Amino acid sequence: MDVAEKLDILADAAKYDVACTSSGVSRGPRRGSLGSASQAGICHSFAADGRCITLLKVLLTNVCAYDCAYCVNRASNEEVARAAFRPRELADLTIGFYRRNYIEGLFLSSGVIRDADFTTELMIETLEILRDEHRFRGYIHAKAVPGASPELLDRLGHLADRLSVNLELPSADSLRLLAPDKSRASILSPMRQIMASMAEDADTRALMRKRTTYLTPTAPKRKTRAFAPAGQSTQMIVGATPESDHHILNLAAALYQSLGLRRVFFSAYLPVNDDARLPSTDAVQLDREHRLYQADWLLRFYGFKVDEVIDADAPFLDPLVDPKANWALNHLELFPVEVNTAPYETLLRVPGIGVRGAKLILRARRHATLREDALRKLGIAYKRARFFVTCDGRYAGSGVAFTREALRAQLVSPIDGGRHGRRADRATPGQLSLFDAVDTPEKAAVRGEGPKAALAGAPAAGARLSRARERRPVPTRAASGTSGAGAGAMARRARAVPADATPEMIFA
Amino acid sequence: MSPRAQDVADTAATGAAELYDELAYVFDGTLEGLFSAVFVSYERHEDPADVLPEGGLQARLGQHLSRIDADPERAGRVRAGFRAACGAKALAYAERAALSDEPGAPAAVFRYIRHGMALNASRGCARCRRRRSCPGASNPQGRPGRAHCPKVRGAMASDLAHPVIGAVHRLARSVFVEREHLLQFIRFEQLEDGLWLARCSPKANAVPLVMDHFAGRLNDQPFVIYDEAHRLAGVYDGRSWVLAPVDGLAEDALPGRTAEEAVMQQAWRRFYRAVAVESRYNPELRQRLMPQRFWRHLTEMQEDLPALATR
Repeated sequence: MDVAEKLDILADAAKYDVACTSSGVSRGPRRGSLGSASQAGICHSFAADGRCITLLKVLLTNVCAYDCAYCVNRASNEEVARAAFRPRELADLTIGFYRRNYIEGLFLSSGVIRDADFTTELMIETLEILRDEHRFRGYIHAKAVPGASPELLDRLGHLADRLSVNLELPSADSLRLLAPDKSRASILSPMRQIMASMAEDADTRALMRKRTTYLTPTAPKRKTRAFAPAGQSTQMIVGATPESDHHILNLAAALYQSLGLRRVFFSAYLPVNDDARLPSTDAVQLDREHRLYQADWLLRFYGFKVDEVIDADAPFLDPLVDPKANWALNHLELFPVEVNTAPYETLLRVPGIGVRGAKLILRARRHATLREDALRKLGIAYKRARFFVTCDGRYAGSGVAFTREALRAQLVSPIDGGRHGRRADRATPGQLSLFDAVDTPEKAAVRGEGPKAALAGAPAAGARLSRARERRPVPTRAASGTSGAGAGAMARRARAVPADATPEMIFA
Repeated sequence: MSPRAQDVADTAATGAAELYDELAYVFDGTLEGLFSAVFVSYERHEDPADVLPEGGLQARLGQHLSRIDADPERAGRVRAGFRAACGAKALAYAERAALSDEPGAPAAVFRYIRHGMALNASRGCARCRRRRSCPGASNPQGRPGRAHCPKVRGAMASDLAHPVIGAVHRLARSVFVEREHLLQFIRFEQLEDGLWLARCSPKANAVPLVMDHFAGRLNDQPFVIYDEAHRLAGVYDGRSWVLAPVDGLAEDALPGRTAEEAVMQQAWRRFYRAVAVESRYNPELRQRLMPQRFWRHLTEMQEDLPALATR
């Protein structure tokens, strides 16, 4: 099998991993070394699905000992072609692509071949060839394999720029059901280790910069690489299991806060396997994923607290209105604000004004009083913002009543996701699936009945989960009726989360 | 010939200037030419209605054209004077915006410079609250023309709502975006003599802005980035880079691609196709993020060569 064929198989196997960023570390070029890294990252191409290609995203091998229900590479999928790169092959390919400006670096993930330690050793070997032999200064994102020993993870972190451990599913119950080989501990403990190593590394460097003795400081003979200078990220599948947006966003917020993650990625569940433990619907919840990312942005860049974005009474995000507009509609008493005097934090809360727009307003208003035409020129979404701002005392949203319902009608913006493929036949609220009613032996096994009960790994959890799914309202419908009849029933189910919750408490 | 005499000669060539004719400057399209035009406008006490580059020139009805020759010495004086009056940031914005291909760009930069100079001249220090601490006011030579006023510097850098300043900022931003596109979408090919070649045709003359990036990143790899739209080549020989105006590449004289090049291109195309998820197919999004005008030069958007496809 030649390298191109392997690349075909192993890129195909890696494509369901959604994380693809080359951001978070700035490293200038150096003579004699190849490559550099820029803080914001560079997208080198865009695939037919519109997602960016910035790194060579491949698996080292798609041979996998684990049997996770949702994964295309699971051990029980016998028809999938299997391949493995030799470490040197992959390193040479990366360099070849990098020299042609196809990529920003390597995204290395892997199926679990033999065991987690063996897999990690192979990954380390690949990265060592890149970093030491090719003197590669570009970006490397490596996946930490759950269950690998801490020493290997430490070595991996010193070679890579970003590490990630996939949470896979938003709760430990779901994980037990769908990924029986992984556990809460095997995922969260490497995350904690990565955080601790990064803190330790930063401390050491700070100490070395300080002059602690009267002796002449000497630079160390050999510079050590920083431990994962671009931090860590994670991803979870949305829509394969019944967790609410409320649960998912609280988990994401806790990960940002207590584990210092740089990114949490959401991946709409795509059916790739036939499995009774998985939803039988064919529609992909891409719109839900989109709203989750919008909420995620509010948490990271707009200074929102998670309980401002979503609360337990309406545990799903509104599919018709974006989360920021939704917040504004629920807090009309705070609007309109005067663009010429409002502080940055307040400007960020106005629908239609983003981070860039707010910063431009701050710059421009130091020199002149901003009126409507100036705001339009600055490139903010004036059509939306005009209902929530006054320009020099003048309110431009007149003609529409300043009430929740009237403004909501103005701000409704269905997600434009293109006109092609599965995107076009999106999940319709209340649509029945032909196969929901059919009871199969596998489904019975998942519920913990019949001889195949052992199949599901954890029957008790499975039973709880599948009952939950039967009761589960279709998210899109539930979310649109914040004041509707279904809200009461959901309020009982969505648990309120304390403000300082750790990921362990939520990921239970 | 004095500038005044030159102007008279121009007028004679294009026909007598009517009293109400609009005046327009024509320059050679370079940054030096544009700065020389600024110099000439002060020298002749003229305020031209338009400043046009030579290529693709179309005079409007009743427009009186005056040709301006690029003069490095005069351009240098304008550059230094503008930097002194308005700060290095304003000069950087002007130079960046002047790289744009948009038809109104030279005129916008011309007005920006004149606006900055006028702003600086009109600001006296006598009643300024900051005159005690301001480096400009305490300058023994006096501020006007020498050190810049912080107020002027601030306005030129961030008074985005002003029609003249805002226009230049928008142009500078569009050039910056085009530079970013080049960083993303340039594709190098390895030629048999060890040279790496990339072609592009950007909307702005942004190749000078990406040379540092590539020369640093691929520092052991001599390369040429050829801009077909502006007929400009950025050449890096492994030590330093230069820009060279070229009249097209001699395709026949170019050495062939290496054998490895074909293998890599093929592998990259296969990767590109494999990595897309069919159930998320969304060509509108791809086209928005990777505009079609770049596809011509993108390896992954080319069809496989028949010889390669059969391998």
